[in-house]
Amino acid sequence: MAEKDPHGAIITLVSVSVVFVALVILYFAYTFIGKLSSGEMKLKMPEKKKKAEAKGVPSGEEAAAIALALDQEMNGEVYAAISMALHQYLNDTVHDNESYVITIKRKR
Amino acid sequence: MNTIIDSLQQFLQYTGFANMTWQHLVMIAIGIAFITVAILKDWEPLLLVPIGFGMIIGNIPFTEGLQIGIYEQGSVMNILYQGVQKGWYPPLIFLGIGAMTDFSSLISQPRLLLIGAAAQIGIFGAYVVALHMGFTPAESGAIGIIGGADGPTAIFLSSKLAPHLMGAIAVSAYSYMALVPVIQRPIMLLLTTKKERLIRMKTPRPVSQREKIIFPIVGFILTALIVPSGMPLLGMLFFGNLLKESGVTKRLAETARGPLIDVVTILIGVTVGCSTQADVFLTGNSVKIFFLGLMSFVIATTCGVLFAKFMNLFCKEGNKINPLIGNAGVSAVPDAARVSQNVGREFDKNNHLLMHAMAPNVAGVIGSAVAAGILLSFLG
Repeated sequence: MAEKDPHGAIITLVSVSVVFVALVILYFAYTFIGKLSSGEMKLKMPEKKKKAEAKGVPSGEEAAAIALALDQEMNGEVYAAISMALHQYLNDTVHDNESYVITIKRKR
Repeated sequence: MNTIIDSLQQFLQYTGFANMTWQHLVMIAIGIAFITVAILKDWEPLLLVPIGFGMIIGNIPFTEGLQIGIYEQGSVMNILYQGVQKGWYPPLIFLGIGAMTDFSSLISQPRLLLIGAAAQIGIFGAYVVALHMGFTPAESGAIGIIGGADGPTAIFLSSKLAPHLMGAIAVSAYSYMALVPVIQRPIMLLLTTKKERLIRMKTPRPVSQREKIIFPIVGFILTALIVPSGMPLLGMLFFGNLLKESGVTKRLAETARGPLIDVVTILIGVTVGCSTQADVFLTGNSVKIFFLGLMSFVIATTCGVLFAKFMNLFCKEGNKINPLIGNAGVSAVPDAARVSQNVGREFDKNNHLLMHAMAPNVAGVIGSAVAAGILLSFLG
């Protein structure tokens, strides 16, 4: 190769190109891995999703719907009642059934 | 009585004083200068002290035939020098470098890899000029690699392409690496405007452990497939990094970046220094090699800074690159990155460029190993 290129121009051009190509490929590889890792790009995994559903694990949308329903059902009074009950229980001042067992009546 | 006088005369003929030439004295003076600069200026002391003392060892004149010289087959120094001649010290150094380098900055900003690629143009610029100065293609390739600013890579390639020039090439490479702050600063200031020097780069995103583990595996497979001749250097570099990042090989990583690299650095430094025997080293070619090495460094720094400016043409506001990190593409880890940091802080005390400059800096290590592999493929 060097004999056919006495001025070194071809070797220089090819070599610089190869160095750039090698590092550009690394650039794309690491950008891709970085995006995958940071969650910018998500791989679709339908099988895993199905398995999760089969095990009874709620999906994101389901969890959001449950949270919304609970929020609508419960109001400030409920939170206050739970807090008071917990406070009394933890201070050992309530014995509505027996020691170390707490009962909270359901809201009607 | 005559026997005693004859014995003394014979002994005197063996002493260094009797065989000393002015060339030996010059080389010993250079060795002392290396040690002095390393101690007083703290420039690459881990390399310049062993090389400097090696120069003194190698230039004590002696009568040949006693099997003590570095070029005498079977001598102790010759056996230690095999690691340089056969090129097995540089990959071991790369193993240690891989085990001590944090590639997070590069992983979080992969676009800065391209600056490391641009800085390698210095290697090929010097290659072309060396050809025109009368060096053979193989010698020119070995000389050009000085611009990679990577001592082990320079030794590895010159041991394969031009073993007779290795002493001059290695000393030149390490000398200029020590002089990185002196050589690069004026070029950086010349090629950048005040506004560019004040650019603040976006904080890199955090990098997960998984990415750090994937990095050396993917990096090695891709680069080695493109340039298999760079495999010894690339393989050990990425392997060392995997030892560091895997989290389960801490002992191996600590050995690679501690005792192992220290032992090899001592051996490589002393033997390279020893190889600069006056009769081999003080030639017109060595002067040319020093000139070409400097030129290679200048071209590499220039290309790195200019490429960073070029990339800015395509970057959105707020995502611009401070071109002061362009110099770090020449490798010379971490000194070149420190130069970026120091020059950047001269203009804005709160602008810390070190973290960003480490990305092109380590990309330069990969780039110079790839460039060495390419030159070996073409010229070996």
